[in-house]
Amino acid sequence: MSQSARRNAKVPGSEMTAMLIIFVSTNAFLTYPRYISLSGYEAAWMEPVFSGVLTLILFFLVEQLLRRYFKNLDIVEVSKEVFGRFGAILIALVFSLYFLCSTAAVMREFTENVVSTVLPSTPILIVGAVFMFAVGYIVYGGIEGICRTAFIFLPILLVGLVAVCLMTVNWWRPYMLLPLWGTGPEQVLRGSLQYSSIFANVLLLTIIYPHVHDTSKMRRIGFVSIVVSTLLLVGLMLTYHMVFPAAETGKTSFALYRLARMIHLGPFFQRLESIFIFLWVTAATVRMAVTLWGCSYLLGKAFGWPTYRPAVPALVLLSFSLGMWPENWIQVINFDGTYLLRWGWIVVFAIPIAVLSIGAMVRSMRGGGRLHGGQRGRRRMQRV
Amino acid sequence: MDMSFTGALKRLLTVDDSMLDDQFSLADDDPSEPADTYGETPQPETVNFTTAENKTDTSKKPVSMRTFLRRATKEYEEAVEKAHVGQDDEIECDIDEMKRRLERFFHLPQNKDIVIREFRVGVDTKAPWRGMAVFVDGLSDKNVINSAILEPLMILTHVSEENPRRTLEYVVEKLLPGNQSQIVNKWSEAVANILTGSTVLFLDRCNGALVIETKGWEHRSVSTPQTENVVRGSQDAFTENFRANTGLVRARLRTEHLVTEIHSVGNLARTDVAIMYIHGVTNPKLVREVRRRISQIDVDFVLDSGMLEQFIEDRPSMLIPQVMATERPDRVAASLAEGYVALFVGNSTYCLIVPVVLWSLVHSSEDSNIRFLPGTFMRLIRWIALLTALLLPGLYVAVTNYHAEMLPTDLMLAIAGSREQVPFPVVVEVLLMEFAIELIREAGIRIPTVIGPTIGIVGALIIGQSAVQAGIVSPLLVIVVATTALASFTVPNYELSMGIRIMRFAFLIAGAVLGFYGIAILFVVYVVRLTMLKSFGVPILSPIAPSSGASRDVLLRGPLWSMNKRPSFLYPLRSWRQKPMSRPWSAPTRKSTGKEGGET
Repeated sequence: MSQSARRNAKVPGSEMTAMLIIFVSTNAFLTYPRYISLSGYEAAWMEPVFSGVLTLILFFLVEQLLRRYFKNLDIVEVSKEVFGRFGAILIALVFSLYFLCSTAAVMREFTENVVSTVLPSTPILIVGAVFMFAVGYIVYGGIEGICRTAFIFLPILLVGLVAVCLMTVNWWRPYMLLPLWGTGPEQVLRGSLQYSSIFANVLLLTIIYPHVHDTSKMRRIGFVSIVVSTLLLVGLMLTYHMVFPAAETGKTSFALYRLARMIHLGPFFQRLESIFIFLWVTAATVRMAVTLWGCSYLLGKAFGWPTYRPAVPALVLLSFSLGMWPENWIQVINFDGTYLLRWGWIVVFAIPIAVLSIGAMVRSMRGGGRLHGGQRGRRRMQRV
Repeated sequence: MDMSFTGALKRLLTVDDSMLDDQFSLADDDPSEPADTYGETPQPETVNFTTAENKTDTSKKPVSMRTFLRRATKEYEEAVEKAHVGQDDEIECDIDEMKRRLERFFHLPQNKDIVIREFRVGVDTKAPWRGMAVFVDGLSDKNVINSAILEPLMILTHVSEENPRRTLEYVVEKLLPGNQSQIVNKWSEAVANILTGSTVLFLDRCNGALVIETKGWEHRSVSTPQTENVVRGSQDAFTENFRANTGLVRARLRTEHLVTEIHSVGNLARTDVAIMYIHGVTNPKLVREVRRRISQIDVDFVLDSGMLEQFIEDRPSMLIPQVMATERPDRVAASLAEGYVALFVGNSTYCLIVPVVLWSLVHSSEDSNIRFLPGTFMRLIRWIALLTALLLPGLYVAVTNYHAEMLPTDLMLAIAGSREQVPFPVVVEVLLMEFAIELIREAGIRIPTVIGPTIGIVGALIIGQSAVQAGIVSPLLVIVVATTALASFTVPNYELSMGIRIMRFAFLIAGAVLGFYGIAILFVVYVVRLTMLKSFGVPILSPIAPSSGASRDVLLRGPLWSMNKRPSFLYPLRSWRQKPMSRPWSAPTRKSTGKEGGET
């Protein structure tokens, strides 16, 4: 492929939608079900709904700001406009750090899951190294490769998640969803806000916006991705809580595995949790590739690198090291719950909206110039 | 007796190390020895190929890659130039000079393949008009030469002295009845035409040559396909005749818009390469790209389509082919009508179709000849077979090593029971059996036809019975390996099948080392690799990823009457290949489109 062709590479809407769905839905395999179960008990399934609605509103708001004021610009470029180069570097570093920590946490959680469930005798370093190699390889493919991979694997994720839910039908006890409001509406709403950071659509939108093939479809992409991923999470949580009592769901950190273990459809179709490894691996790989790509892309943008790819091996190694730093799984879960999940909304929602809002105000004050990305001569386009 | 005794004694007492001397060594090049000592007649003109730049560079001094490439390119270009010294010149008027040139170009008289037939034009001509016909023995049709060139010129022609028109144009117009003839003025054109089987006529005092089509070498006639057999469909395949192959396609696709461009590739020996496409359907950018890649191939010799394929593919190191090779003219015709480009290479029995997408490698030309439900069923079978051939051994190893809990207890006990006598780990067992299957497969191709049936007996005995009875492998594994082998034979494309054969071992190792987890990771990595792969600018996973609104003829087989558009990833100039309502006579169709009661 020629360089010019690569520079202009754009991601079609369907692939972008698939990537966003997988990105959010992967939380079903991680600690998100545990934390919202603790927060909402029987009403835990409502939390993804509220978080999803909130995300949808913010997504439309951010999309409107980008469309109106910063067409074809990403968050780093907007930050440069508003805060200057150093301000942009600072903001890019904050996002990159968030993505790096997120990658490291997911890597550790995921490899711990694998080791504790299917490969108990295999050293975690080997499992993690293989996983990170795969993630690094995907990131090398760029956002186009990541989204295309996501599009291919999305049907597997959808079928797998629905299958897990439906194949446990003989264990469903709908009365375990009562009382309806669980720990109470106030607690449920608070939990929805606290753990809404799993919907990183808003932050991702501000990064990938210039790479969408047809930005006029961005609203549709956002709507479909948020609704579908919300439905998947709600379905999973409903099933989880119909199979296990609420008090127990807050103690397990791998909800999907527990559900898969419960599958028993006669003597032949039983203990199918190993089959779902394909589901976890594909989804987790795509998710981590997105965060790692975001990290390297933002760094490249902030520091004016012509390409982010040389940074990928270093970032892979860094996130692997960070992930392996905590002594045990409990520390990782606590770190994830205390910082990334609980306060992640600041990075995922608050900062991007603040930057864009300030940028919009600055633009309005300067005379309402709605600058188009293509008009900015000094803007350097990275290879994506 | 006495002599033999003396000889034996001598051998006993003396050291004779002549047995260590080589009879002949290519490496020990004696510069004093002449390059060609054949016969008494010296070469008319010898081109010296043993100059310093053509000798193998034995110096150990490291050079930069740029220097190395520059030097190698220069050496190659100089060698190519030397091989064609004088061929860029215009053809002379003097027939003796022409003959001397020919002797030099074709290394006569050592080279016995080239025939120079000298003659005089006309009967009872007072002023002789000398001529010569040059052709390659074995490539040209001698009957045509005798009856259409020599006989008319030597016996049936009367050249009067008064007629001043002793020109090639006059010969073409009046004297020679050949159906294809062309006047050339350069030696390079004349030499190239002689080598393709045409007869080149040189006449005294004519500064040019007349190329007469007389190609007629022995070749196999059109026969049935060897690797792409079908039940419903035509039963002819390409053969070793370049023009017969293009003709087979043209006979099916009878449109004046079908264009066949002929190029030649190779500096030492030229090979014809035909680019075939439909003007007005195929995207001109695609044709230009094909032309560009072919014209930039700078090699001495391209023998077959398999070699050309590797020179024009985007990533020849990948196991998945990025060019489709087919031996079926009907498949080529169908592809051309879709907007693809076809490439014919010399005397190759395979035609190349570009670009290619992964899905079409699993299609068969039979698919469109049968109704869409059986067609869909067959495609599903092929996809399952492809995944089986790729993953089954790896999955078996992963399940038995790491995930035994997912098996029902009875099945698990049966597997454990069957493996009780086997001394090897399961991965070694699988590798042994896969190796045996690969041996049988390879031997099946190489084995002489007369003893062909032996391979079946030997294979069945070794794998089916003896290995199990000896406790080397378990009976269940025999089923797994046999199913895998059967599945891999189901893949219609030979190159894809070869790729799967190799990739299977990678998945086997991944399954043995990390179970399902390893297989899943490898699968993801390979899919990512495929998403980045392109064939002539078209992503190989099109039209699924990237998704485009193509017809339903991708994973499954859609109804023929509903596949109205050509593949969008080809960006054809005519996207509709049929009317949206392609069965207007049908009442259900008319009803569904709301035209009931309309025009009849």
